[in-house]
Amino acid sequence: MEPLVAEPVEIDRPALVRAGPPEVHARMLALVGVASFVAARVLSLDGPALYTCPFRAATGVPCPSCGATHAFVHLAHGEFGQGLFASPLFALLALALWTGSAFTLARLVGLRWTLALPDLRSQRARALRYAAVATIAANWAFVVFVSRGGAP
Amino acid sequence: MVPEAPPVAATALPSASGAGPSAPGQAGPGAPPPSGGFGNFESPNAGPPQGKGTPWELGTGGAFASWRETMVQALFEPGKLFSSIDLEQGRKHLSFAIITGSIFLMVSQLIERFVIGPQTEQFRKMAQDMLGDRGQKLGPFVKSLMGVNTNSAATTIVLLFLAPLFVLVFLYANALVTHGFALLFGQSKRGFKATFAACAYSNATTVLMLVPGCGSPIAILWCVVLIGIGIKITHGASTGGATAVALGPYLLCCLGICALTTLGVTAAMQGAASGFQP
Repeated sequence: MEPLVAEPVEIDRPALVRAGPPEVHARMLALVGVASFVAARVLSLDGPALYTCPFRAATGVPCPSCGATHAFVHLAHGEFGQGLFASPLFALLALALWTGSAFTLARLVGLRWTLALPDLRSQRARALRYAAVATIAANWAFVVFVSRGGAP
Repeated sequence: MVPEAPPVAATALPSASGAGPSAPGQAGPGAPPPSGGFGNFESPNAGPPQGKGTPWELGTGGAFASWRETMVQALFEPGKLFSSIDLEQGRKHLSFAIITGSIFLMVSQLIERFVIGPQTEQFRKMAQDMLGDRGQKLGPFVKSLMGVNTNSAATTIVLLFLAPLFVLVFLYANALVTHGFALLFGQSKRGFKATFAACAYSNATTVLMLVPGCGSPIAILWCVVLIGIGIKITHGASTGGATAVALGPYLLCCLGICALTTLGVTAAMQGAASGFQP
């Protein structure tokens, strides 16, 4: 007897999908992306620290998100190597945020295609979750390693 | 002008979420733009049925009355509020969070700057007079302990004008991190819109920032609780799953501290043991 509930079917998505004007969340995320880019361009890393990480203050070890500010600032100034060195994960996140913002702005002025996102309800979801956890852990290990004077 | 993407059809199968006919070159010019790409936040519709709208979304009785009713429900009847959310009212969720967060952030900044700040400064000077040289170290400690706003008047005014932008950035950062944990734990059954709505209405706890001293930490704790309740109801998540999603970012830090403390204690014990060896 056939099961009543259909199993999820894995379908490869194209890199680009057709889309209309961006939704309100996409527009606001683009605004956040633009604001973060402007702030990263204006912010100077030579001045006093704007924020002291409580995790680092308590343990002496950087937290998983330490180095994010440096990554954003370096990338906004076109210093990709230094940005990746500060925090590889947040450097990639900054690139993703700004690329997404650029796509959204382009869609606002008429682009009818957008980047396809992976479907996390598919059979790949479990593997993607493990990969995300492993990526965060690897990034943390790298940041701790570098803070201890290690070379990349 | 291409019309706004329509809501996603009710299905749990990924084949209907915009992947099929949307390949470049296959969709005709008259085909409706599918969702699923960057900038389209679909609601997978696998969770509970949507509500008819919160007081703020319905706007009954005027803007202030609906805002006040939503605040009361968020703080005292969160279950009722979250179960009545209409996920397609993203603009309403956003406007509620921005207005509420900005107002209370601005007022709390003013209270700290002009009411609490001078009193703490007096206390700091008094402590310095009593303790002499040791008071020089105590002064900054007292300031940092009480989290007092010591910005200049001009800086405070600039911060007041930028408050909506700060609230916007923190709102989306919070929603994205929380949604990331919802995806990690497999609790995202209604997409980003549901997580965002939970985070947006949880901004109601910023009213507690008006209470000097303990108000801000209580506001954060209550906000986390509300996000947990919101995730449970809007996504139809399990109680454990919603708790994990809401506490995940904070637990990650705490577990990290515990792990590092354990490592440190172990290393210290090993070092002490090796020191006693002949």
